[in-house]
Amino acid sequence: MDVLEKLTILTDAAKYDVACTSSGAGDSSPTGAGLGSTADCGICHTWSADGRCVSLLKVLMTNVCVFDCQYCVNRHSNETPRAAFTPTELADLTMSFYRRNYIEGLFLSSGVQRSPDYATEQIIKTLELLRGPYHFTGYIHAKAIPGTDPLLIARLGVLANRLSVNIELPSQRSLALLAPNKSKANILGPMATIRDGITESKESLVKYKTAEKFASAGQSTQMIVGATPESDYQILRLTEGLYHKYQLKRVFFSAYIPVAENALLPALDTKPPLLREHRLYQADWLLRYYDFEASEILDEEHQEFNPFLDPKCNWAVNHLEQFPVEVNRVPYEILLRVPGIGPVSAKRIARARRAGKLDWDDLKRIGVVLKRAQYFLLCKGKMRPGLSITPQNTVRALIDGAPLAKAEQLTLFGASSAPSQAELLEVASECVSRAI
Amino acid sequence: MCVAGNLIYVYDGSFEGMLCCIFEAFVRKERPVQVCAQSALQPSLFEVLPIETQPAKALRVLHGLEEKVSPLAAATVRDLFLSGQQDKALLALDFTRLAFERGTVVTTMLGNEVVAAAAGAVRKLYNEAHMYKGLIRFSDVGQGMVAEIEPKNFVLPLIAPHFCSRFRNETFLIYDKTNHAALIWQQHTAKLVPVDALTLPPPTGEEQVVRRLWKRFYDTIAIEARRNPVCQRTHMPKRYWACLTEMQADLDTLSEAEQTPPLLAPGVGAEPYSALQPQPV
Ligand code: SF4
Repeated sequence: MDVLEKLTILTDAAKYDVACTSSGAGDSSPTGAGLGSTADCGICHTWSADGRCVSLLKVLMTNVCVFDCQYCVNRHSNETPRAAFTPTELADLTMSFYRRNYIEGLFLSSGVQRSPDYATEQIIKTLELLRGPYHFTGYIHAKAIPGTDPLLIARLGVLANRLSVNIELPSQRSLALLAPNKSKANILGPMATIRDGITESKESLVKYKTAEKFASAGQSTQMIVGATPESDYQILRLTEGLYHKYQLKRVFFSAYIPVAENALLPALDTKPPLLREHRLYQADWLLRYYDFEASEILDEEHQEFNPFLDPKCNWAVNHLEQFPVEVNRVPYEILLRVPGIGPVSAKRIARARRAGKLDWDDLKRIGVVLKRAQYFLLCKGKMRPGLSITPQNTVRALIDGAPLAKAEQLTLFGASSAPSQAELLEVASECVSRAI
Repeated sequence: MCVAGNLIYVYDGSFEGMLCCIFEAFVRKERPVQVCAQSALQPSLFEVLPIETQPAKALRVLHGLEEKVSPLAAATVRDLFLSGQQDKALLALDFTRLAFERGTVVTTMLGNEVVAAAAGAVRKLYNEAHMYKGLIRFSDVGQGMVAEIEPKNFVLPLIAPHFCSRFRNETFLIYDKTNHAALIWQQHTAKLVPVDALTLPPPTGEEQVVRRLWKRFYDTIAIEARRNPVCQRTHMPKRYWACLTEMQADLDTLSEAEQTPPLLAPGVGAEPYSALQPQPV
């Protein structure tokens, strides 16, 4: 089998993995032999037809797998063409893509060929080639396979910038049902090993500059959403827990795309729950950058996201009593909670108001988008001139039309009559107004 | 300051030239209606005042900004020069005037019209530079790696350190079609040179193999059930596609031309971009 054919099979088998970012490794400007550097903010090299950023060469070492996870195309019982790269083939491929600036680095995962340890050894061989004789100093993200020997994981951490162990499904019960070869323990075990490796290396790096770096871009994980019955609240709680307990850099979500006829899984013609995935990412963003807690976003009584409002707007309409706030005085943290204002705008406001009090025109010139924010702000004690602030108007401005129109039109109106954006907005604002 | 409602300053298109226009406007205590590079000058009813480029004057403006205002203000003026915006030079003049009036705070006065416009232009410049860090595609032409870009802004000086460090042991050339300039990295030294045209030799056999592998990867990585061309185009507007290997329907036609050495046609009236030369990495 030639490399083109292998690449096709092993890309196809890897494409459901979501994490393709190359951020967080710090800016490096290596000198001396070799090729490559890392950029802290991450660089996208292209966007595929599904609109996702492609930053890394994302492939499997092999899609041969002895495990039988029901949600996975590579499961043992599935009839599909199998292939395996040799370490040299994959290292060469990575270098020739990297030299042409096609990619930021390599994202390498693998099916469980023979055993977790054997599969991991193949990954290690490839990375040793790249980091050794090829002097590759670019970005590498490697997957740690559940059940792998901690010593091998320790080796992996020295070679890769980022490591991840997939949590796969949001509960132990679902895992037992659908991934019989995996368990909470053999997933969380490696996660803890990696966490400790990272902490240890950070501590030694403070003491001696030459200490070995261990997964310097941190650890991430991903889980499949919509294959199993967990609620949004459960998933978000789990996410928050993972950030706290394992100091993860990122938790990724992937909307389940049916790959098999199976009584335990959604039917083959089920559409991937893209809106739900989108809302989870928005909520995750609130946890990481907006200082929200999961319990502020959802709770026991409200276990699912509001389809019509993004989580931050949803929080705001339920806390209207805290608004409006004065732009020139309000602390940065509260500014961040205003719908329509993100970290970029909030920072700009904080910087600009040091040079003098801001009015509404100033805000516009600074580049703050007022469509939503105007309902929640005062400038020099004044509301935006000409604006009538009622709960109805406010809600109308907050409705998130785009994902709504795409994802929900079928369920709301039946497939035949696709509603106009205006009609949708009408229905949505009525719904939300009633709810608050 | 009296407004000179009928004057257009014209400079040679260099950074120093633009700074000299600023110098001249201060000396003459006036604000021209336009400050325009020679090559971009359109026939009009306004009177044209050619401004001679004198490095000493240019330096006085730049050092004045650095010392009397702030390094950030000086960097903003340099960035404005790199901007592809039509009115950038006049904006640089307005900004400089405001900077000398108001001092260090100028760069935080984002509510001010001039500062907001300058910050907007600079933001676009940096966004594009960041895009190109990912979107540049090199081809192996035997003597080294070559890439072509067609940016709106003059991003080469900004992306030079990134590429020179990443590909430190390679020889490469990035040709900017819009600004007729090239960044050349050879024997660990970077040079920014004016170039009129670039002719690429046809891709070698190996180059074609790698391009095909890349295109195959690109086509395979997309998930059919999540197809979203709108999102794809929002992130990666069509104007970039011409230079992207993976967006070519027929790979073998990409940059295929008759072999015509030399690779580069040198630019006319070559100024060496002295103030913009990449620093050694
Ligand atoms: S171990 Fe990984 S590759 Fe194998 S079936 Fe499970 S998810 Fe798929």
